Amino acid sequence: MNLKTRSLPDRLNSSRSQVFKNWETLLFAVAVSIFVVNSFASPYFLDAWGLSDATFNFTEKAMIAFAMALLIITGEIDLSVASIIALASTAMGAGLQLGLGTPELVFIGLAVGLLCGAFNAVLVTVLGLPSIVVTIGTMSLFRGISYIVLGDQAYRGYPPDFAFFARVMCFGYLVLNWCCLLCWH
Amino acid sequence: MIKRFLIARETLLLGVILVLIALVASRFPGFVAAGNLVNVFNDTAPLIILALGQMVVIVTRCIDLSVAGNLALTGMAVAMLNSVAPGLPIPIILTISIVLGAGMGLMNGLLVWKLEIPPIVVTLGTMTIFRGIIFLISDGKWVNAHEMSASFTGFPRAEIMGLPVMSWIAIGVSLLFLLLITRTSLGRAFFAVGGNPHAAVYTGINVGKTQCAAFVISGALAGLVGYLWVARYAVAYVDIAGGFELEVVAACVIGGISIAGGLGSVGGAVLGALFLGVVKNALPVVHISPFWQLAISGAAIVIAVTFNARSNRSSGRVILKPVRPNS
Repeated sequence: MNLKTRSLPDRLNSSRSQVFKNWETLLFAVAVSIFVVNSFASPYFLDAWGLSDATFNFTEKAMIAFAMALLIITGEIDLSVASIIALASTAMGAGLQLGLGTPELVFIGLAVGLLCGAFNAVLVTVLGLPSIVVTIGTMSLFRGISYIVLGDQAYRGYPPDFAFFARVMCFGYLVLNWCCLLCWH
Repeated sequence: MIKRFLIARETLLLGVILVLIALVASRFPGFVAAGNLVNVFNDTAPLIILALGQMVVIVTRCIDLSVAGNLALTGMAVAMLNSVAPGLPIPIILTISIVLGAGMGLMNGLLVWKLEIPPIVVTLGTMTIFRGIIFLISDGKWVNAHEMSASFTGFPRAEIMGLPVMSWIAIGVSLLFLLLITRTSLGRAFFAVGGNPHAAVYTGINVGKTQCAAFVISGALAGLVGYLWVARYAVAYVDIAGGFELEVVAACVIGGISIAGGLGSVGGAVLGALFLGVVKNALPVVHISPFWQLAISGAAIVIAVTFNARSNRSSGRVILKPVRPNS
C-alpha cells in the first residue's frame, strides 16, 4: 500500500491558473479597475482627501463584515446588525442624558451589543432555531426598542473625547481605520 | 394526524387574534364595528396576498426578499403607463402588472434553478436591482394622484357588497391557493420539494423547476399588489413598501410556515398576516405609540418561531431522524 502518497498534502493545490480564477483575485481586479475608471472620471478622486474619505466610509461596514464572514462560514447569518447599532447608539445616548462620561458610554455601547448578540446566540444555538428567522425577528425587536425609547427624537451633544475613535487622525489615518486593520490581523 | 395538528395550531392563532380584538373592543367598542373591521381587513389585504406567495416559496426551502422591490417597480411601471395613456382599461393594467411581476419572479427563479445560487443571495441582489431600476425609469420623481386616471385609482376602492375590491382580491387569491395547495400536483410538489428534496427527485419531481414555479407565483402576486398598492395610496415613488418583504416573511413565520421548508398552510399564512394587521391597526386605537409596533412585531416573530420549533419537535413529523454530527 502506498500510504505515503495518499496522505494529506501540506498545502492545497494553488497553481497559477487557480490564483486567477480565485474570487479574491477577481474582486481585487474589479476594485483596481473601478479605481482606474474613477480617477479618469473625476479629478478629485485620486487625491489624499478623496481617498481618505472613501476609506472612512466603508470602515464600519468592513468591521462588521469581518464578524459576519465568520458567521456565514459557520452556515448562519445575522440580519440584525444594523438594528444592534441603532439600539447600542440609543443606549449610549440615554447614558449621556444621565451624565455619564466617555468610558462608561463606551462600556454601555459594547455591553448592549454583546447582550443583543448573546440573545441571538441563545435562540440559535440553545433553542436550535434557524438564524435567518431569529435575526429577522430581533432586527425589528432591537430597532423597535430604540423607537420606543427615542420616538422621533434624537440624542445629541456628545463630549468631544467621545468622538476620538471616529474623528481623530493618527498617522494621517482615522483611528477607526486602524481599528479595522487590527481586526483584519 | 399531521393535519389535525396543523388545524390545532391555526385555531390557536385564530384564538390569539380574537382575544386581541376582544381586548381592544372591551375598552374601545368602536373597534369591532363592522365598518372598522372591514377597514382592518382591507388594510391587511396586500400583506395577505404577498404572504400567500411567500408561503409557497418558503415551503420549497427558498426565500423571496425581492417582493417589496418587485411590488414597487411594477407599481411605478403601471403608474407611469397610466399617466402616459390614461385610457388604458383596468383589465389590461392588471394583466400587465401580473405579467411584469411574474417576469421578475422568473428572473429570481431561473437564477436559483439554472445557476444554483442560494435564494437569499439571489433575492437580496434583485431586491436592490429592482429598486435601482425604479430610480432609473422615474429619475427619482414621484407619480402623484393628479397624474393618475380616476378609474386607475378607483378600482381597488370600488365596493362590491360592502367590501372593497382589494379585499375581494385577497379572498379570491386565498381560495385559489387553497385549490392549488390541496388539489393540484404542483401544490403537492411544493411540499415534496421542501420536505425532502432527495426523495422528491426520486418521485420524478424536478426540484429546481418547482422552486422556479414558486418564485414565479410569488412574483406575479407581488406585481398584482404593486398595482393595487399604488392605486390605493394614489402615489408611486422609489421607496414605496420599503422593508415590506420582512413583514411578509414575518407573517409567514407567525403563521407557522417552517423556514426549513415543507411545512405550512394557506390558513396559517392568512392568519399570520391578519395577526400583524390587527396589531398594527389596534395600537393607535388603544393609544399606544405607533413606535411600539416594530418591537411588538419583532417580539411576535421571535415568540412564534420559538413556539413553532417547540411544537414541531414533538409532532413526530420527521420520519427519518436527522443525523446529528456529534452523537
